[in-house]
Amino acid sequence: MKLRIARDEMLTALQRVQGVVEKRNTMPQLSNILLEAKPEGVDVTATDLEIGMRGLYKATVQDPGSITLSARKLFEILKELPEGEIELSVTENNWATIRSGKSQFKVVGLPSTEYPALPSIEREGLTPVTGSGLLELIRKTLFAVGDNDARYILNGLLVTLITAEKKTTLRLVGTDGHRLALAEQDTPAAGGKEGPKEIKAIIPKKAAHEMKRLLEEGDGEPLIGFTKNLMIFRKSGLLLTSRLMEGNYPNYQQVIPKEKDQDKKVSVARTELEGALRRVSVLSRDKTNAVKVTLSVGKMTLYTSNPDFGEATEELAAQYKGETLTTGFNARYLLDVLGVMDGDAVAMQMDNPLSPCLIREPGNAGFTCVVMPIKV
Amino acid sequence: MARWPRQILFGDVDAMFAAAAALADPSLAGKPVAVGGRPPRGIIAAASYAARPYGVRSAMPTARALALCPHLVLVPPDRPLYQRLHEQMRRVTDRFFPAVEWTSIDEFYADTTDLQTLHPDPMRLGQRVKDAITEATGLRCTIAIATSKPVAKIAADAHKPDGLAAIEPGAEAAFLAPRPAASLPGIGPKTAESLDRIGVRRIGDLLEPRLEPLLRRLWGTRLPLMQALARGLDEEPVVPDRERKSLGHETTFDHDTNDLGFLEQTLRGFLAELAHDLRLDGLAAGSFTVKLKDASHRLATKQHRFPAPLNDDPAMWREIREALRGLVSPRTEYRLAGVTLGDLAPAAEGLFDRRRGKALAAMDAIIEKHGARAIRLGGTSEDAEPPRAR
Repeated sequence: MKLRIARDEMLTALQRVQGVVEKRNTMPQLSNILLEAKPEGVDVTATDLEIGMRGLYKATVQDPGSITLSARKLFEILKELPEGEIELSVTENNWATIRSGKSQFKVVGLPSTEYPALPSIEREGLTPVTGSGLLELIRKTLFAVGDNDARYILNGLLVTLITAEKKTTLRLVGTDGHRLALAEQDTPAAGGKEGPKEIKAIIPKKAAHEMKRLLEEGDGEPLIGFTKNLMIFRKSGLLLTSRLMEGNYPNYQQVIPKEKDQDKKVSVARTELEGALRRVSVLSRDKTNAVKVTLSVGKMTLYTSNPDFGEATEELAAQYKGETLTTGFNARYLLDVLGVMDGDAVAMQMDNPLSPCLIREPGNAGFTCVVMPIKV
Repeated sequence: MARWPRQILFGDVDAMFAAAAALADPSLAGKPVAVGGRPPRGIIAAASYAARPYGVRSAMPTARALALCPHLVLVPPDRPLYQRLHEQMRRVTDRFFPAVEWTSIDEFYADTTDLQTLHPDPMRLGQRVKDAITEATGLRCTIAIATSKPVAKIAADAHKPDGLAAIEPGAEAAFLAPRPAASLPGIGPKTAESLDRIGVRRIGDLLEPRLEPLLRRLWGTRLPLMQALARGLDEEPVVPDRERKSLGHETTFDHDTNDLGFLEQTLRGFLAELAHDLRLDGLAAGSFTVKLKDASHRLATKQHRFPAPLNDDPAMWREIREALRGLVSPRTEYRLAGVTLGDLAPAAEGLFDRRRGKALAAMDAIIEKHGARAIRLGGTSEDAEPPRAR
């Protein structure tokens, strides 16, 4: 195998796969990437057996062939090389040589035959979605997905794809059991002949994160599809596959509070609330980030106290006409929501101090968040 | 009545655990009662005043106590009951005082300096607090008022049971002088022994000029501090309760054991009680420590964090059991086992388990009303695995 490739092109490929390769050193080949030189370019593949990513990159291939090399070392080398072309050649015993100007690196590789194959993908049956729209949905829900939660299924993002005659609805739900975020979007579709079809799948948090990174690159509209146990995501020559998580996602619809009368609702300026929460949480208790929130006519008062340091309080103007209500939140949870919201105002609704708090963006019916209060 | 420059009130419930036993079973009133574990390994946690003339004291092995007082009534500890009485007393002290420091389940200090306008007579204030506590709980307590914490505590110890005392400003040194030196804070049994060897037995002896060279050799630069204490001078403030940072329970077995099933059952029982206490306080634990002591008193502990703060014992049990199993080594006999829950933080209620939360709250309410034996979770020993969809 022998090829010439622009250093920047190769670096792009390596940056994309860094998040996919296995960090723990369980199987050495999983911390490697697979390079396959073909007449049309070089395919770069990475997988941790759960998620797989493959992309075709422009290269001048002199000798086709394949090899697997350490993703991290290759990335570290490429980062330090100057711009321009590099030459990559593989000699016997899986030694790879990288040349750039006067630099030369010899890197030990593993034979490509030992590299796990990505699942074979049908090209049919993928649904086109708008990239910016999907990115927005992921951004607005990923923060709420559990992290290493004991309830395994909460570490995944629920994706629901509803294809109807005139439109496609994509709905994402994330929850860690204490907060929940739901975001959905309609895209007008050409209209299939079949009736409405709903697909539900739970993808691992890592897959959602990688999808987000690819979408953040912009250019090119993605296609998305699901098989029985696989998610397929394609975008401008890139393929991302992920195993689906098996299990029952909790009944999230049941825990979203119904819209109540005006008395239970409060509206505040988003950036003001965000700033105030950041300030008072400096003196909140380290572990819970507890902030006491009091609603009274026309205002919202935030209060934190820490037995070791002191206390902080801040008052904000709020549109509220109900009875005085005092509750508590993990400031981190509120800040996470505010961080993904758009618009000037944030609307909250609470029935009583211990009931789930509904948070919405005025004028955007496609986003719903629920945060459980804490006792303070 | 002259205003005191500083006024500290100290309250101590008389033989609280034994008195609580008599509240739960009125037929025990006036009898020699002791709360503690059974012999041979059990320890007396508290003895009623009727048992004390026989020489029964707390921290004494139960076997010894029974030898001293053969008709001693032994009662097992009832932690939920003590906790409930404690809460009731707290409500009383919160009503009287702006700042209260509960140093244990049955002892508190209150700074009453600023209450003198409202209550010019300390003895009358003390009597009102005593009466209010008895009215709320049925428990009797001893209250002493002085210008510092140590003097108030020593005065209360000198007036037990059901006592009331006020040591006027300026009278501290004279009051302390005839008391045993070991009653001063900072003088433990070791120091008391050393003091005894140089002829210091009473607090007053600490101020004897002829003993000063010997005391200086013992205490060095700490001597002025100890002498100030002996005069009743101490500035330690009343610190309103720090929050509880951990909650634990341990026991010494009657016989050393290597029976894993028995160890598991013991810790599972402690966990149920601790989780109940956590839920009552609206707290959840972020970590736990399992502790084992083997027959040769070697201590082994394992500390671990829960993935998220928990107060639901079946969910906590899986990890605790795993830690216990990892800690137990075969062919080792254990004499003590315990579990402590740490990193306590306000509990965050879950979105999806609110029904379960309500059920647990109902169970907790029944335990509060009828005791821990009235109700418990079924089938939690082995099948504690929550349904895990995979």
